[in-house]
Amino acid sequence: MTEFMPFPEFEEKLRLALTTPEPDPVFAQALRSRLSAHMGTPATHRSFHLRPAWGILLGLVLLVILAVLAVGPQRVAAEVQKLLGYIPGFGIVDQNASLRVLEGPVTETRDGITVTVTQAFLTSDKTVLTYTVDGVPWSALSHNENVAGCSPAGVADLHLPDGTLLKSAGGGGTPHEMTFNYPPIPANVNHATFVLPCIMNTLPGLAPENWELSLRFIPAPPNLIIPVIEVSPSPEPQINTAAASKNPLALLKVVDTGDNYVLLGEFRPSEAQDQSLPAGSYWSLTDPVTITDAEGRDVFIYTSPNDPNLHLPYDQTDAEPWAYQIGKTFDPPLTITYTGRYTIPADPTAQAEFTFDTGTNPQPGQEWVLNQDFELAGHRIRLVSIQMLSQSGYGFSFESSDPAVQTVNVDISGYLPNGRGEPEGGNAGLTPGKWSIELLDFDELPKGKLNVVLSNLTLYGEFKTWQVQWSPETAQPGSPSLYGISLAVDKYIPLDDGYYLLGHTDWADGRIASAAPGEWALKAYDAKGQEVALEPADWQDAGLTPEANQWLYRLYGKSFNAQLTLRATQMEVAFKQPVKLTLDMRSYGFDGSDAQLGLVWKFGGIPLDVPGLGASVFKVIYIKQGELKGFEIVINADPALQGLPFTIESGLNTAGMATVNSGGGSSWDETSGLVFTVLTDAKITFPLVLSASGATVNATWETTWNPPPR
Amino acid sequence: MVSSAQRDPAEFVALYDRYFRPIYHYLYNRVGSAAEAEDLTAQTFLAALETLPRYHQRGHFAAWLFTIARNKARDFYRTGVSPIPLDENHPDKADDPLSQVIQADQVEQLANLFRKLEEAEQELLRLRYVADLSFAEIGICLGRKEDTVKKTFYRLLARLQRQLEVSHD
Repeated sequence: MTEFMPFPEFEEKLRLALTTPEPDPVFAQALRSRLSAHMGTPATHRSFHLRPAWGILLGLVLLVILAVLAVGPQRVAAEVQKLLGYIPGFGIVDQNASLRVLEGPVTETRDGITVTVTQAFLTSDKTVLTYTVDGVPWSALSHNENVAGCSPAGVADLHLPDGTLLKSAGGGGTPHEMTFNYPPIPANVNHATFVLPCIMNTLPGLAPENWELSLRFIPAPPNLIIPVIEVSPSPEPQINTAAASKNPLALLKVVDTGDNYVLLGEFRPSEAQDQSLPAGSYWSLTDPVTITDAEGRDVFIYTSPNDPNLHLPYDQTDAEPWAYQIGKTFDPPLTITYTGRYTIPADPTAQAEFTFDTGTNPQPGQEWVLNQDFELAGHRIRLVSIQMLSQSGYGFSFESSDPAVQTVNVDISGYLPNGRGEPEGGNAGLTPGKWSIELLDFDELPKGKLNVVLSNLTLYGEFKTWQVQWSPETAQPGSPSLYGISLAVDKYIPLDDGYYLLGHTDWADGRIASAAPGEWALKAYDAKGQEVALEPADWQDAGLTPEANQWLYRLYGKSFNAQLTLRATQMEVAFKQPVKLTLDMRSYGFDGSDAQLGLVWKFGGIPLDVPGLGASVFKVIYIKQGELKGFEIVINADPALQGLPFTIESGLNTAGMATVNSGGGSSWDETSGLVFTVLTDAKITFPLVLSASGATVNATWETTWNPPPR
Repeated sequence: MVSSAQRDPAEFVALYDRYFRPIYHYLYNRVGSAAEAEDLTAQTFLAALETLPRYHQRGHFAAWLFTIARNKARDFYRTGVSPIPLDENHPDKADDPLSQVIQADQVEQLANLFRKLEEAEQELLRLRYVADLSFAEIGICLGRKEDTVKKTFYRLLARLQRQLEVSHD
């Protein structure tokens, strides 16, 4: 038979058909750092795997666990009592501890690349230092998977004046910003030299090397530490839907950071054991964790702050610590929900044996079709076939029409494999009813007549949901007012067919410069909840002149049931300090060519300092609309943030241009999040600095008004 | 590289650099979502790092690593998560607009044909074109002889090519 050889073009089309997007370089680097940190640490078994978002969140905020690791569980309670302060970028600290900081950012630029030590915190326990790298050209970075760029030698050291070398004790970050822990610097040493051998992932000779920046430390200013109110969970939550003796999901601490709450807790697998199930049963997570409010609405979980002291080796404890950061505008109580399923061992004594003859010279790929049925603990399974694997072992293919069957253990008597493949594959895998077990890497390949033992059949058990609830101690029914915004009706003007209602907006948040209801976002409801027609009114028509923060509406009709409730669901707010975003796409290979139009760059989450609301940039797309080019920027944001109109503050080369056209806008997309575009016909230079002076926010604000007696 | 990493875990990063993209692309193709692919990629490398001492140097590290990745993907589906269809937008490389349209159309049809294949057949193409494994390595992953893999693979390609031609007749 003539072997079919495909046309190269056909193969190329197939490759294209199977094309997947490039991985996010930030993720690649973060995982690289995580693996580097993991090297040399003892392997531990984890009972469930976590999605990246949860993995990131788990890295958040857990000095409690650090305390466990550092001082042992007996003293944790006492240590926790000291955790009174929070420093963004550092974590939780004892407010009484002596703290020093970097006098100011230290920066150096060489060949267009800028290294900046942006902050440092020094305590008697450790030193935490953050540095940024900007302007690294794409051409200087390694893009060939066979050629490693600078790492792990790129981890910076600290040199003290007496010659002491402080090596990093862990940390990580993105190619743009790295944060590392170091041993403590003696209290009488206020200088150090930051030494960076090379820039992360750069190739030798293509970027300046051996950076040295001189650092000076000063006592921390007294206002640096944000007061933290530690709130006791109220009361010990025990919504336990399983027959286990305890709720394995525990909320341990809640930290009030001002704008947010950080919920700290742990999941204790041993307490998830259901005593009514056979010994050896265990529960594992099957769905993403959710946090919902009193109305069952999902509460937005922020990405974690980059606080290295909170990025702890959580897998070194039996319990699974977690931390979720949320905003404050929820309707309490909160419910944290873990949904999962039990795995139950069938009768552990039940086993089946059979003899299988491989012959004297089995070959990799050789297959023996058996279709042999076995019954273990009352459950029927079929061993369809056995294959010899190239990895010095055998694969066993099973099937079962019994949906309760998960998987079965396979052993070859007298032989111990060094590896087992797909041991957790089970009956609910890709092909329901079919699964396989591989015994791999035998030191000596079993062959000839072999005694094969099937045992430890496991079954799928019930799905179980674990929940905890929490309410802030000062919680009132309903959602707290975002930014402390309130509405008030100041006066009314009777009309033949209704009223003019003149009111104003107040706010308590000092970061807000103004707030006004969205033009059509204010609605009126009578005492029976019936909507009464209300529309924005013209100041001139009413013969009035607006003052700051005032609004004027026209109410239609007079025969409604008092009292009237005015409810705004959207507010346009202006910030005293604009929200800024600095983008430098050079390090991600952006060259401005048309060939890159449509390309997507994904980030781990560039946080945006939006007052009171969590938001971070996670995706940037190079786009063109008409003659304008620019970026579509996608933000993972609290759904309360419905609009954040950015304008270009700097980063345009307008030389020779008589007029600069630009456009943009922002909108909320249910699937993507908050999306905004910046477009221009000028040449974009980097860094591109974008600025938003205000936002559109969604929440509910109400006031009441009683019409005059008729 | 593998032996070095077995002696000194710090050398594992070189293996990571070598295999990160193929593993990610493979997993993305399997699960159809960047977030899940990132999660599974992380799980794969962490598992590989932990079990590397048990890996017996047989010159087929890629096959071993992809076996871990396949297991992780299998675990992912075991949780009851439905696969997400891959993005149907595929890049085209032809220069002139007409060729671009035709090629993009054929690529799209191939992507549709791929989605209709049996999982085992999808896996074969995935390991070859996304993971860039050799036939020998695919054989190790699948527990099949290299020759068997090759014949199955080319039979599959011939079938796909015929289907593509038929759809254009």
